[in-house]
Amino acid sequence: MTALRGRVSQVVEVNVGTAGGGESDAELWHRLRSADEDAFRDLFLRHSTAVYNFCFRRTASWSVAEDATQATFASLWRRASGGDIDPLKLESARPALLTMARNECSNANRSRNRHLQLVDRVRAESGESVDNTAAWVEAESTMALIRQALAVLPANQRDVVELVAWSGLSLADVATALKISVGTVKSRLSRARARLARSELAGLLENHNEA
Amino acid sequence: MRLELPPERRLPNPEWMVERILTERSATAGAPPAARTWWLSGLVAAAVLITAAVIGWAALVPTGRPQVGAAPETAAATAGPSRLGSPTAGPSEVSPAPTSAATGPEKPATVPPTTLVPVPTRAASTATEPKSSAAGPETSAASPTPSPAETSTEERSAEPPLTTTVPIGVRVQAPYLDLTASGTMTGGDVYAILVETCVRSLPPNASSELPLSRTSWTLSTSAGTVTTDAPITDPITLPSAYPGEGRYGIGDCATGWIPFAVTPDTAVLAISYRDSLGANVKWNPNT
Repeated sequence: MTALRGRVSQVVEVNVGTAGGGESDAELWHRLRSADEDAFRDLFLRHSTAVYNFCFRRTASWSVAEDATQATFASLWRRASGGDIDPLKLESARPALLTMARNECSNANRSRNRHLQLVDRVRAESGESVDNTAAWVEAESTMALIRQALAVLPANQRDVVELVAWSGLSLADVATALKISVGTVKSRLSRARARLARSELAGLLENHNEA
Repeated sequence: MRLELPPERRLPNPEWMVERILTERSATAGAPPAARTWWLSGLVAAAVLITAAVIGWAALVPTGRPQVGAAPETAAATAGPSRLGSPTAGPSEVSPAPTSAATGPEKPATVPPTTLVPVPTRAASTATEPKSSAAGPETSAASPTPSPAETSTEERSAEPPLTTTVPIGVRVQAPYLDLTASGTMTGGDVYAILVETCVRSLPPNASSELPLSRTSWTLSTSAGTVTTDAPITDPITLPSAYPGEGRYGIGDCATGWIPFAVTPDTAVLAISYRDSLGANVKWNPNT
């Protein structure tokens, strides 16, 4: 006999890597176009961490990245509710979401109290030590240095670096998402590598997914 | 010095964020997006025209009908006992108010709202509308009341029903129904919810009772949607079970616990009620 206990207040941790893993992105996206909340949830749980880290690498701020992630998915849901979502052209929704996130990161409002919010959020997370704040801030400092070094590249080359080398998208997926040819993606990536070959960023331009 | 990308982090509180996005969108659903503006404008224009026509008609054609709020002119609404086929719902203490049901077809007042209205109370629902027994003779010839799970309502089939998400314990006015999810229990492979479904009014072509089914209730979890069909392997004891199926008249309620089979590591994100009459409500059990 199973004993039941009442009202659970503890939030169960969810594995974002496999949440909603039964359905493909294409199927979920198709349902999302009809404003299906469950499909939206599954897509969110599947890709939000990727969007979050992508936004962090563009903004060098965990706090802004979190806001931009929320803005990205809020925009997606708003468009889904309005019946304004195009069919998914790729098997994965990630390229489309990262492309959307690109714009949201640029628009993200950098709050004056960002650092304080960051500390608050670290404290609010159960099981996480406040000591992690130091690691968070260090990550932001490192990322800021990387952004500074990357700034020598034109914006279109930075986009390709961020999507291919840092987010693991294929050249074909990036080409589709950015609405450019695969050849253009390749040439931008190779120009970026040539430019940064002798810089401290050389090791960050390796591409593991250039299919 | 060679720089390395900082290690990836998981998004903090993803469940909270996704529910917030959905809730905020539901809360602003009253502000129509651009894609819906055209038909809303048409709807408003049609409502204005109909109102003007009704006022004009009333001014031109004198009738002997009593004014709203006048003394009852019919004895059709009798204070008889409630009809209850529900195995769990107790008799509703309904005090039928005078009704003008004898005047013919359903009046606009009986047409349910198209929006879902959260009622911030945990109090048990109180029937505020008369039992439909007075309308029985007039509506008995109509086809059987469509089940919420199997009916397609013409007006609403063109677009997905409006969804609202509220904290647990909030009573929601859905079309024809008052809905409440007020408690949860968990243990082993079971997640149980305490819910109540009360019939507030009837669809225009319905008979005097509306079929209710526990299959309208589902769970949205991190592993997907869980329905009542999933078998529960562990024997459990619930204080009072929600009825599987039953027919309910206005003022009647189905109340009780519904168990769902879930794996222990599954996060329950929402308790959902959905039917084809337009109800699509979610409660956040984590609030």
